[in-house]
Amino acid sequence: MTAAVAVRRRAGTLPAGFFLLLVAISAVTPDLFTPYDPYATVPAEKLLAPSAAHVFGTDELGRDQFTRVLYGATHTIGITAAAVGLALIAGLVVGVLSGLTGGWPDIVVMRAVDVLVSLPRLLLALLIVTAFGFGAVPTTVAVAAGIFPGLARVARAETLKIRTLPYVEAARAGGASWLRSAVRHVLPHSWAPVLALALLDAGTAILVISTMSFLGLGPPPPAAEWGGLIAQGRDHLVAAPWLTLLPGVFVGLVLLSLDHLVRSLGRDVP
Amino acid sequence: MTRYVLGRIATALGTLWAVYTVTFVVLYLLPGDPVTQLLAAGDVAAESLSAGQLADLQARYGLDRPIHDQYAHHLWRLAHLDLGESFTRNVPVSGLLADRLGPTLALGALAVLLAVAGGGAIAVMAVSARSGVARFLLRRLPAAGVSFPPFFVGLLLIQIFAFRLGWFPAVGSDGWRTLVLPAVTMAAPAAAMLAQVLTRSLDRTLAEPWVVTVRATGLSRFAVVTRHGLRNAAPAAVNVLGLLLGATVAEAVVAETLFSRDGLGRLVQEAVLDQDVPVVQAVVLVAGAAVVAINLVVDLIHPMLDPRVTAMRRAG
Repeated sequence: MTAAVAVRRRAGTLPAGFFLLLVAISAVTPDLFTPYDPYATVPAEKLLAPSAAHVFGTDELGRDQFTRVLYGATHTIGITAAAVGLALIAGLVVGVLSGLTGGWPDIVVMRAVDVLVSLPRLLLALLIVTAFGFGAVPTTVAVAAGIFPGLARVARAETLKIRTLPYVEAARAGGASWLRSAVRHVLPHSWAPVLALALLDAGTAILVISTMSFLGLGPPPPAAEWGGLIAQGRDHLVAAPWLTLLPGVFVGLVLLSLDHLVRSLGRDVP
Repeated sequence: MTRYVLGRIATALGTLWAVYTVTFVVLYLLPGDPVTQLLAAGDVAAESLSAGQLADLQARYGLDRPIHDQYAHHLWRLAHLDLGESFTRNVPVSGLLADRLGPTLALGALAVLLAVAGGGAIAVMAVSARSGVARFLLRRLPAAGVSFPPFFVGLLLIQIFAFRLGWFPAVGSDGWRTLVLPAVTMAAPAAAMLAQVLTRSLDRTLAEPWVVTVRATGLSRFAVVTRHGLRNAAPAAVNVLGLLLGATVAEAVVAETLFSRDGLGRLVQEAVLDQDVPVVQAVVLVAGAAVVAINLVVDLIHPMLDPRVTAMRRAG
């Protein structure tokens, strides 16, 4: 199904895609969308309610909350993109090679993948940051480790379907090496379902990243990730509920849009 | 059947061993020295200690021995349910786990009950509602439920039910009242997932030809859903329930941290912040063991729920 059909088939796909596009752009150049500095404190303007000047209000140090959400996107979206990219490459390589090889290496690799799948993603991520520290790179690896097994499984399943098709056999018979047939003939046909799953996993990645910074494992202050912003608002739940509410709704909308987009692209997802 | 059961048990034990190996490789084998990490967490630079002091620390936790020796030693201890000593608390890890397991189990049990009740109710209402608007809303609600971060849901609950209405306390672990809000926090995404799977399964069942026959005998749509639909949806629901039960410890990490409750979840959160390697490893192992045990149970009760599974196996 083409993207155009998908857009027409479901209402809300266009706004969801547009919103995600804006969020992605704001992650790259947050200063395009806001005149404020995310770290400039203005004590006179602390804990202001949302207004035209401060869409999401201001925090306890007078910093514009909307600006902080936009700058937080740089961290969240950056790590999400890196982690999903890493998991995608690892998943495709492991899945396609394992499926093509077959035999006992395939069994061993897939058993290992089963074990990784059986561990809850958050705990796997906590395990990895315990070993490597809390920086951006360990977080990326930690998030990627939780996504990669699912992608490897799908990539392998697709490979198994494709490798017995006559054209792959013809390529091999025509003298294409094993590696060439994997890269040129199997990979281009197996990555589409993997990519759809990866897009859905981007939502999971955002959830895990913001949960980790909620648990105190995010970037150190004054930088703030979405989860960290929501968690900080906790101290002002009574006086300034918007500090928690608006960033939370924002994150929810991002995830809801992603979910809607993936479903519209026609993949039946659990 | 005995062969099937024994095979599943052997697989479960193998998976458990593999989970242990993964934790060992990540925590002890990969670059990054546990002692340096531990000192860094306590704001002590490793350089400020003499070589002798470092060696003492290494020896104390058995980190100076060859890696295969450590692995064998740890595995041997684990077989005797000895999980070593906490780096920062200086007490045996097994004792810590025993203390914190109870509250997490209570929280998890209540959360699962709420999730089953909530998810089931939403699914049944979504497929039997007559009004189009209600159907649409009930079908979209679960997607929203899994899209909001659980800690945000928890904060909303605190804001409404603890601060505004004052019905339940916002923090603490004493008494049943402190159990409610964290359990709802854990149950919300679980109920949403369950509702999604159940709704899909009920839709499929209701589209089958025999439903027309049953309806023709005079059974209402609601009765068809509750008497026949749910039974057909049970295997899929049990699968999801297994996943949710297995994730209890992971879900509890957020709920217990947010509500300052004692339990395995907060234990592991604190241990990660303190770089307390043995405690992190132990909690991950407990969570892994829970997943393995639940998968085993799901595999074993599956044939009972869906006779077709056994029938197909016999037919080969």
